[in-house]
Parts: sequence; C-alpha cells; structure tokens
Amino acid sequence: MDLKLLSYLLYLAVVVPLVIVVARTLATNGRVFLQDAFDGQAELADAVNKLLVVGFYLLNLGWAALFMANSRTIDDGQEMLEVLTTRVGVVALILGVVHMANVWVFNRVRRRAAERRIVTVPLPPAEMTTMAYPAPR
Amino acid sequence: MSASVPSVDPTAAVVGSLTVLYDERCTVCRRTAAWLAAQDQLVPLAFVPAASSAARERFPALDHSSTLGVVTVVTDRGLVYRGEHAWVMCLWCLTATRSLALDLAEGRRSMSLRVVRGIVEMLRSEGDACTL
Repeated sequence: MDLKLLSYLLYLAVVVPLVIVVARTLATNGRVFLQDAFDGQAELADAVNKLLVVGFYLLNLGWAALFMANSRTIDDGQEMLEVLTTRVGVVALILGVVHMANVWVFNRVRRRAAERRIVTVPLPPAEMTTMAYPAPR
Repeated sequence: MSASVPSVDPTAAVVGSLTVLYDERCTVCRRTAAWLAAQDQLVPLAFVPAASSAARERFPALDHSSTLGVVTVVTDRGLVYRGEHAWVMCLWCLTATRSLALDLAEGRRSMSLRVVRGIVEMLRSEGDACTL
C-alpha cells in the first residue's frame, strides 16, 4: 500500500477517536458545571451542554480534516511516522487549547451564577441610619 | 465576599433594595440615574433626589447636607455608602456589572478604577458643582 495513504489512514485512526474522547470528557464533566450555573435546571443545562459539544465536534473534526492532506513525498516508514506524529501532535495541542477554552467558559458561567446569588453587601458601610418607613423591596 | 458590618444584627448585611440619593440639579447625575434605572437589576434600585423632602422623610437621621456633595446610597436595612463605595453598590445591584462590582470591592481591577477616576475628574471640571 502507498505509504502516504497509510499515513492518512493512521492519522484519521488516531485523530477521530481523540476528538471523540475529549468531547465526551467535556460533555460529562461540563454537565456538572452547567447544572450548578442554571440553578439545577437539568434540561436547560443539558441543552446548553449539547450545543457546546456539537460546536466542539464540528470545529475540531473540521479543522483536523483540513489538516490531513500533505504535499510532502513519503519514501519510507520513518518519514511516514515523522509526518504522522508531527500532525497528530499539532492536532492534540490545538484540541488542548480549545478544551481549556471550553473549561474556562464553563467555569465563568458557573462563577457568574454564583455571584448573582449573593445577597449580602460586598463592602462595609460608612454608617448605619434609620428609616421612617421601610424602603420598597 | 460578605463584608463585616458594624451591626449586632447579621441580617442587616442582606440587601433587598437600594435607595440612590442623586443630585437632581446636576445633568450628569440625572443622566446616570436614568441609565441605572434602565438597566436589568438584580437588586431593585429606587431613586430619590438628594436633600429633597422625600429623602428627609425617608431617612430622618441622615446628614442630608452632605448628600448633595457626594453620591449616597442606603440599603433597605439602613446601611449607608458614600462616594466610590456608593458607586460600587450601584454596580453590584445590576445584572451586567455584578462581577465588576465584586472585583472592585475586593481591590481587583485597580487599573480600570484609575481610568474611571480620571474620567470623573474630567467631567467634574466641566462646570457642574456636583462631585459625583
């Protein structure tokens, strides 16, 4: 078999499962963050989670597919492995960056929600005063 | 962070609503009050002209002469904030700026605070007597 075709097949065999594993990790663990952010509304959290994961799949599979083709001629097995590992390495690094960005988004959503739940003052007052009648609630 | 409050009653730190005493004679203050009122609020804001009879009626124990010079806000449990702290309290009440207010209250974002101070300084020199 042509070494180039073999390198493409191996590339796909590594990259596609890698994207799936990372996306699944994101989906199962992100769910916990989102449920907290949406005050335990499981359905809404799952919907947002699914939308994010679909975006993750499209982005990464799309980019990995575009990145597969390679104009370099491959003469032996060593060269093929070099090309393959370089490509897989780049894909893994970018997957890592996108994954971290996703975790950051999850955490920010969760933190914002926690901040909105605070009911006590963030600062000590200058003084206390009395009121003639209660202010509107 | 829930700050320590000089009060025996710990529930005094809970904010149900915030009354903003703004200077009705100053354009910037009126516009700012209108802007605040139009924002999405986590804690409802009420606006009362500073040193007005309505303000004196609502807060009989407050020193009203000082509220014309410095923006003053009062929580529904009677906690009083002036100047920059009053601003942070207003931002804390809005949905969009709660994170920012918590950052400011905890001393983060001091750079952006300095920028805002500079802008306020510029606005102030434009003629209005009010010190925001």
